[in-house]
Amino acid sequence: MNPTIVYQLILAKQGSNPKRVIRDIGLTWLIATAVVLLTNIGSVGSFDNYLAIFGFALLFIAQLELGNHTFDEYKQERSATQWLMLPASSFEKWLSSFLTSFLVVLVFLLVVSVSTLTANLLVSLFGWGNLVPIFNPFGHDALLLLKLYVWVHPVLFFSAIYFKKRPMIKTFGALSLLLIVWLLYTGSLVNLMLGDLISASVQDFQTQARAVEVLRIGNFLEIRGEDVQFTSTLFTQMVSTILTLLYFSFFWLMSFLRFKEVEL
Amino acid sequence: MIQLTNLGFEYGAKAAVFTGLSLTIPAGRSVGILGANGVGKTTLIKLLSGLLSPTEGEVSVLEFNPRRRETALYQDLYLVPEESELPAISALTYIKRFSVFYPKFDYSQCTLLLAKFSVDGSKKLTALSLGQKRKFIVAFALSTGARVILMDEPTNGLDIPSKALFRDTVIAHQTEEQTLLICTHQVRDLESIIDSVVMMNEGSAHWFDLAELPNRISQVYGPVNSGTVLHSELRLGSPVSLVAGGHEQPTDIDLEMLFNTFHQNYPGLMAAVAQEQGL
Repeated sequence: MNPTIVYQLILAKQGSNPKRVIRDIGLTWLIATAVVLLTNIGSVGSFDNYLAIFGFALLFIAQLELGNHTFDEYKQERSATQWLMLPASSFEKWLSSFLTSFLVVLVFLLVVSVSTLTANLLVSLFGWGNLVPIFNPFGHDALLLLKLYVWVHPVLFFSAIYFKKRPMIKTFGALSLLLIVWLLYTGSLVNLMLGDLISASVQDFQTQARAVEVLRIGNFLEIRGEDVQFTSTLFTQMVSTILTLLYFSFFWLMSFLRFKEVEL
Repeated sequence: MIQLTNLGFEYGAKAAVFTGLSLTIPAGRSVGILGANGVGKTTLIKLLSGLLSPTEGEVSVLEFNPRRRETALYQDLYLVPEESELPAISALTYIKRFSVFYPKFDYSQCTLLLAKFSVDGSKKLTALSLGQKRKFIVAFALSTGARVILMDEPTNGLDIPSKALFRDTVIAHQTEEQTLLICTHQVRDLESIIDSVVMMNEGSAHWFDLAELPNRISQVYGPVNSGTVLHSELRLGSPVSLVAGGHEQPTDIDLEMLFNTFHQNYPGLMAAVAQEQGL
């Protein structure tokens, strides 16, 4: 693997459509500024509100960028020939797309920061409500958004190469379907595990739960009147670490294998 | 060096394009690939460039298996596809962005060729005409320094002066170690460029050295008095024939005649070529 080739591939890909990059950044800046302004005018909002909205915006932008633009050069036969025959290994080509996909979130955080500055400028100029807190692209909130992106990245990145046409819609559909299946599965599992407790009314369950204060299932799940908590034990930590690693490695590896398949 | 061994390819179970193709093309030659429609010329180009996998047999290009898609091979193998989508950037930006992948890329030659082809380097590639785009890709290909350049219908979209310019440029800029494989329907466009030809049909392919061929077969105008006639046709009311065996003064072999002979009398042509070679 030659890092210089990976860098050149990134430059070649981004440099092949500079207008799109500028257009997408501009669009994100406009939308984010409008959202900040509207939320600010609608209510004297705290920054938590913006964070939730930025979270949704990030997911939307991530799906738009990853779904529509990552690997798109390999999806059209006319452009694919040129890219497939570039003197670079499959891994270098995959890695260049992989690294580029992380630029999305970094650019997004910077654009959001600029959007809050722009919103403040407009607020000062026109006197629309209070000043907006400046979004710090290197602060805690940015880290939360970054984490959110990293968590959805494996699925979106895989779907970008898996679906040749309309990846954004298909990914959204597939994720919705997965979510429904997961909810049904979780519901049936909870019903199976806690069927006796839930067979009574919710009120009875709460009363019962309150009576014993804490219901323990195994030594990792605690149910209280107010909430359900997983107790962090060495076992649960190990399981969650393994599951996390499996999730990331599965989708990233699958995206690479799928890319190899597309190449072949 | 390009070698095909019992090469076969099929799209799906009952759609064989060709089977059992075997041939060897030496390095440093200009080769035309000729064949009827649907015989698999573009498929062959894709197999040579590693864009398709053979369903049987083997392909070797510069001693690499193209299907492994190795970087070292692609630094020495460039494909000018029949249709390509170029990005919306200027020709000079394209050269800057993509030439870095080819260690032997000659930037000054590329700009020289663009000037020769009258391609405006500052103009966006998407704004160029079809012919201008073809000329740009050919200029880029010749400047990569690749040892094998595959061209699929390179003269499509070129006007008559551009075709002549294309021929002159290819002849002037092909290096001794460079092998050109040009796949085309337009035989006349190639005649002055190529020094050998690969003829293809559904079951076979053969590489003919055009310099050597007149020692093995002859083109005879008018009635044939001696020798085995491999193929004959009327041209402006007079018979023209390809005859087995060379003449004291070798005659030029018309590519169209050779092509027709290959298709209509393949066994006879092969026997004539093999006999003269003493095989």
